[in-house]
Amino acid sequence: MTKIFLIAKNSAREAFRQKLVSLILAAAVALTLFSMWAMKLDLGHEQLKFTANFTAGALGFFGAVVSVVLTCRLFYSEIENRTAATLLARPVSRFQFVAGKLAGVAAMLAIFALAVLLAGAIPLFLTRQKLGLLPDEMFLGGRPDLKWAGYAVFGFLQYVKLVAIAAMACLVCAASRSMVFAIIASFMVCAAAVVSCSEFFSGGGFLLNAALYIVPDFDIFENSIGFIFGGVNWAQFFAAFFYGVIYIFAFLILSVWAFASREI
Amino acid sequence: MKYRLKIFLQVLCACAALAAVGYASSFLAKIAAPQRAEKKFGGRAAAFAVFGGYREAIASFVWLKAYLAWERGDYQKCLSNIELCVELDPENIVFWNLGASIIAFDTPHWLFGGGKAPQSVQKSIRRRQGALALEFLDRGLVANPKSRRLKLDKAIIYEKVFADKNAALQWHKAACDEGAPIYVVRDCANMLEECGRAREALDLLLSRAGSFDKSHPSYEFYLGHIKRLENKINSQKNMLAL
Repeated sequence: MTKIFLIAKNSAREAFRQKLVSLILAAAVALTLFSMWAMKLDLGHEQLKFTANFTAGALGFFGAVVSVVLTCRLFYSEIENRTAATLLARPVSRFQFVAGKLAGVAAMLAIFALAVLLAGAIPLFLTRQKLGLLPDEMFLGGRPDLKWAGYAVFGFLQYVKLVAIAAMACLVCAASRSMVFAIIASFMVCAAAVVSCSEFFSGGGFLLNAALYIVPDFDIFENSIGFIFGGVNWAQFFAAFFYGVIYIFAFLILSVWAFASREI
Repeated sequence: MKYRLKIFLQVLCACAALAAVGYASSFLAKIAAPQRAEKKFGGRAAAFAVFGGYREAIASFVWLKAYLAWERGDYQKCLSNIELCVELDPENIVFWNLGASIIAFDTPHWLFGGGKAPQSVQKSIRRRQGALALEFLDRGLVANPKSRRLKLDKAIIYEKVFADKNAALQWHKAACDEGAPIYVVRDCANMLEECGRAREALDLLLSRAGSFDKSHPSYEFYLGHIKRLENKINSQKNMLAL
């Protein structure tokens, strides 16, 4: 456990130094804060929902980019710099190496998610204050309510999704030979998982159903945006949480298996 | 060759393991997102689907493009952008509402070519575009089954384009559910009256009168509507008595 922690700590430190990640984080935070202004161009959306969607967009889109790019860069920097060979020559197992790398990425993703959530809370709070000044008659379906606990749970589930995407990228990295290929392949699998490929297929058949099961369905995490306005549905929360955790461990085990048969 | 076979077998094993995990955890996906079956992305919208929460903002920008095409009377660009809007954000009633109005009432004028077409052709185009708008609204109602606005849109198209008051009445009735605002109830009563069912119109207005805020300015008009219908029914009775 100490070894995993040490590798994770080192990976997280390295992740902080990545300029690309800082740039994406800055863009995500700026765009989230920009949602108040973007609302002026909006047509027909409920204002609080529109603002919350900007936070979800920053977490979902930029978060997926950070997850994939960071995982691939951290993984390949160890292999290309030959530090992985030095590390694995010591009493460090491949599981500890892969788990440490993933934990390091997860730490960086936690900071990313927290920064975006805090940035998203500002326009949400301001929009709610603005709506609070309007009379009740302005709201046909009743005054929209904002649940901060739901917002926190939504953020946590999005974080679980990002870690699962990172674990998926870890598997692609462990199995592939070049970083560019790993990044492209990870993005493709990630897009299929986020969009939910089941949306594109119809019909049935064993092979098609089996193919649909191979790619995880990360679209289920989008449902959690409803927690911000309607409160947390704990059954849905735990189902999504365990779904994410199961995939994180499945991808981790497969990554270790793929990495074990790889020449460093 | 052996190396390639080994890689192929490894990929196959990984896929089998993931399929097993996917199958075992599919019940969790169903609990986590029970209403997901209603959402479907079209071809172009799928490309934007990866943007997640930004889809609504993108849809708003696409609507601006549709609006620019509308100003120029560019049929194809306007309709394709409206289609993209509703695919990106099917829950936004405004896109369905304005889109249907554009299809039913604006596009026929673009297709007439300056009003030079014969009346029979104009009528045929109006009916074709009206049918397209109704089909468009049907898709909107699949995404938003509780929307009164879209049901009223269908009623308006049946009435104005097809002059089919009975079909319009069906959609007015569908919109006039429990909790419908004053104007929806009055519209439904008006349509009942136009269909020659003044008694039913009065019954509807009387049955809903208790559910509205009596201090609201529009309630006066509501009472006036009841009064007018009562007078009409009474005068009809008197006429029959004579």
